[in-house]
Amino acid sequence: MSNGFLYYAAAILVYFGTWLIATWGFDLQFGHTRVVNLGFIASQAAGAYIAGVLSIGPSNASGSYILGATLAFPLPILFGAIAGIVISALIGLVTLARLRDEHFAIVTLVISVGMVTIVSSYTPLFNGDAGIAGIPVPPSNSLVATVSQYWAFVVVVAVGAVIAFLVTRQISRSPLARQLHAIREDTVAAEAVGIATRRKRLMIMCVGGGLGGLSGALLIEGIGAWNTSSWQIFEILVLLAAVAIGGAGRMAGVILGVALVPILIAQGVTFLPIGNSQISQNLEFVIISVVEIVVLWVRPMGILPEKRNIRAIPLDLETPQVLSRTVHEPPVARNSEVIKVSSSGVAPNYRVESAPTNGHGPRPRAVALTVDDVTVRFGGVEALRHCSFTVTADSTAIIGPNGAGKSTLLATISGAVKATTGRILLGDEELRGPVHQRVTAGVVRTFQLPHEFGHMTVLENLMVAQQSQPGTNLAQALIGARAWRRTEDAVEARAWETIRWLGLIRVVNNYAETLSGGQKKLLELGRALMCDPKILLLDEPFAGVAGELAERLASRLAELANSSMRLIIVEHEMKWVEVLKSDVVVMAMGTMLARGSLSHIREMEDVKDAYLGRMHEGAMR
Amino acid sequence: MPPTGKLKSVFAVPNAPGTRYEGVILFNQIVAAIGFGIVTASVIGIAVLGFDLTFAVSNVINLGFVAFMLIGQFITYVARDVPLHPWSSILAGCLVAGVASSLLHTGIIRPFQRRKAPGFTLVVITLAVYALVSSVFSMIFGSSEYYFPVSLAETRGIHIGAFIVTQPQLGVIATAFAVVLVTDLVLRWTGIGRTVRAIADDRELAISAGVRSSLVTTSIWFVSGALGGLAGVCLAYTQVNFSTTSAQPYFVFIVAAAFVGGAGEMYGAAIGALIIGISIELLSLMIPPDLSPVVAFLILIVVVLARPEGIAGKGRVRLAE
Repeated sequence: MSNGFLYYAAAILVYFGTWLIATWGFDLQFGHTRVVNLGFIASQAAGAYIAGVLSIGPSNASGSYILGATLAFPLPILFGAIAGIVISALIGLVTLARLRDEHFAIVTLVISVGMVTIVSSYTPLFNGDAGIAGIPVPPSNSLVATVSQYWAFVVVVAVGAVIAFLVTRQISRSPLARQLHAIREDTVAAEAVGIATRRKRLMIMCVGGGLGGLSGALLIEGIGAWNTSSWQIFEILVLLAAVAIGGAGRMAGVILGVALVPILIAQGVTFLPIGNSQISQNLEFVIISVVEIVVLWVRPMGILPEKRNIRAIPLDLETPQVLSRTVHEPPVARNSEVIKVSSSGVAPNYRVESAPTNGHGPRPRAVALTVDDVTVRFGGVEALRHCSFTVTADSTAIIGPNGAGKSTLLATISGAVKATTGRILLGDEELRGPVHQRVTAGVVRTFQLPHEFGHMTVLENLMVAQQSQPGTNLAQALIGARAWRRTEDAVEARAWETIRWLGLIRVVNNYAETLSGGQKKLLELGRALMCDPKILLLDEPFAGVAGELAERLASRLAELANSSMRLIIVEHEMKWVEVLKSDVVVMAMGTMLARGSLSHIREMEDVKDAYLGRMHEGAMR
Repeated sequence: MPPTGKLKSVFAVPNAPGTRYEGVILFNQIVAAIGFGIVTASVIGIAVLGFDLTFAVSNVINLGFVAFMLIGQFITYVARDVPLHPWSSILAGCLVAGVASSLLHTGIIRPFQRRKAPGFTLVVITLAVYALVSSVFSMIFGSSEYYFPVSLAETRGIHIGAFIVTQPQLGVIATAFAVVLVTDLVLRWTGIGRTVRAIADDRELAISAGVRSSLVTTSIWFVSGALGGLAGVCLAYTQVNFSTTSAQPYFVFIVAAAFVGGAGEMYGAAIGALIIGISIELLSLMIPPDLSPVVAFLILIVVVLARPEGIAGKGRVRLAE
């Protein structure tokens, strides 16, 4: 074979490897977490520039740049990867706190365009538009590499690609990936099951940025130069098109996409008889943008879509022995004369650490929740005014007309809405911080409209709710199954138990988006229970649930009320308030109007007059 | 690139003969910068208004908006020799940009929206459209500089108070005022304006109340594109010469001005444009003019961190929970 061909083959492999590293990194953000970081290319550029200036020695007459040095072989690449992490962290810190969805996407894009402009106009940084050139090819560090020296560099790129492969694979197999997918599907719900969404998104920005930086560092070492035209605004389309065509969220999809877009299309146009490199580059983007739009229309999930994670239903699940191993009976079935507990099972033990071990001891003391003089203002509107009460009953129903402030109250307790004044206490501890911290403290909410994680199976929906499970932080995910396998099995067993308790066995492997409205409500209840709540906040749990499902939901809630958990329920249907024997808090105009048992409330004339009126008399009976 | 040195001297404030105080010179420079800032703001303002219109009615952040500026510039250039009134070529530029915009809506955006494609998909699509148009124009027109025939008389300065402006610059400022005023009057007082506001407020409700939303929406996309074309032409006139890349910094300016003003807010567009335009020109007294997109993006970052719903915004921007 001729030397020319061997050079060309090596160059193609270098391109393939470096783009593979970058696209896996981009897909961790985009495909797995839906962090649509259109400024990704900035991390690649940071890696390239830093690796470049650390390879070619001090700034001189032929070019001015910062940090010029000649470091030994792997160090420039290492620092390039670090530069990618740093720049991604900066972009993430600026944007993640305040923006989401497409606003996040365009601001990150504008930031990367701004960075190109800075590098282009401020020459002392990275030599302006001319950029950094004349990088020797490692590991031999020869400026004009021979065929064998260049193939040695192909091995370096291959090592980089293997590292990227391992990082991506370990993450996408770990419990961490489940949390990332939950953030992708519904960030609000992910936060509500205790995932520190902002921290996780920043983390994945950094991991992706590190791979981007690594890719840029290898690119500049391989092609010898990098300048502002290497990372213009449209460059991100190469990554987007590769992921869209191959399939987001799947490693094989990324490999296919990289083979098709940056290799086949971008290299293919150079073979066309055009002769003008500017025009062939334009043609490349014409093809890529048309292909991108067409693929998004024809095959939105890509050629190799993400695989559904199907688990075999354990054979012994239907036998009662399995349940008795892990489940304890609700100790005092005080409400059993009202609620016919369905024979399908009993409430799983949802507070392992606080519950008695034998299942027959005294009922553990539940914690009280105190709302202390809470006021919430939205602009000029006072949604809650000096609202105060303490929840001590097993089940407390909050009722009141529309606009009374019930949902705001629930949102304030859960942390989604910040109290303007006043505080919320769990036991003696003040509840502070964002939603996910309060979930860890034991306050968990469900939503009025279902917030399921649509493109995850029912089982995954439940398993995601173990927020502190080993393997959900980056280090353990990277170590691999050794670090998390045992707890993963335990969590899965518990998820199966909950699924059986909810009666969702038949749909367990379905994507949650395919469930009916009522099933989604049940699923959401199960997901909240997997968070080990001390206080469970239910926002209209019966809304949209009818017939047998509603009965099942009621009996499950009654079981929970008799466990060590306290329920706070916003509900319009008095039938369920009665069935659950709830203590009733009547709210109107953002404040508590009355308090007592339902029969007591019914007798209160002032409640009727001041708030219920004639309209609500029917509902109260 | 925004106005460069040569033209800027035209926009100079007349120095009183014999003035020796540097303070006066600085003051004059500041006045001149503010003046030029108003010109830049006028171009940005026209563009942001168009950008915001489609965001309001379709909830689409059109990253391809700068493509309409390109279309406006080059169609006007191609049609410059049409033997009619000189303005007919500008009209042609705006019309073609408008048609391109409504085609983008009916042919690509609307089908994807009917499929309930997520917002970021539409952002990616509009970016791809920008890449497509920009690459095609770059293939046809290369990287040469083009200019509209402007007679000498038009470049002579006109004194207005402390400022000197050229006729095209005055025309651009007047155009921007007219566009903002007309848009406001139409939105406020006409039937179609009410319809647009209704759709912008709650699309589903408007449709069930009998609003013919698809016709109105397509017309708004047409207007949006035509405004983009107009902004492109105005840019070409204020800069004298232009190329396929000269509108590119406006990508940053438009997004920044839209965010600063509050995305989808009509008056916010004008406020955002003024803030971005004047800051760019004022700061260019201190930093190289090439860095002006950096100024815009730094303002954008400050606003994103401090008040992401924008200065005039009512919270339409998707905030983190």
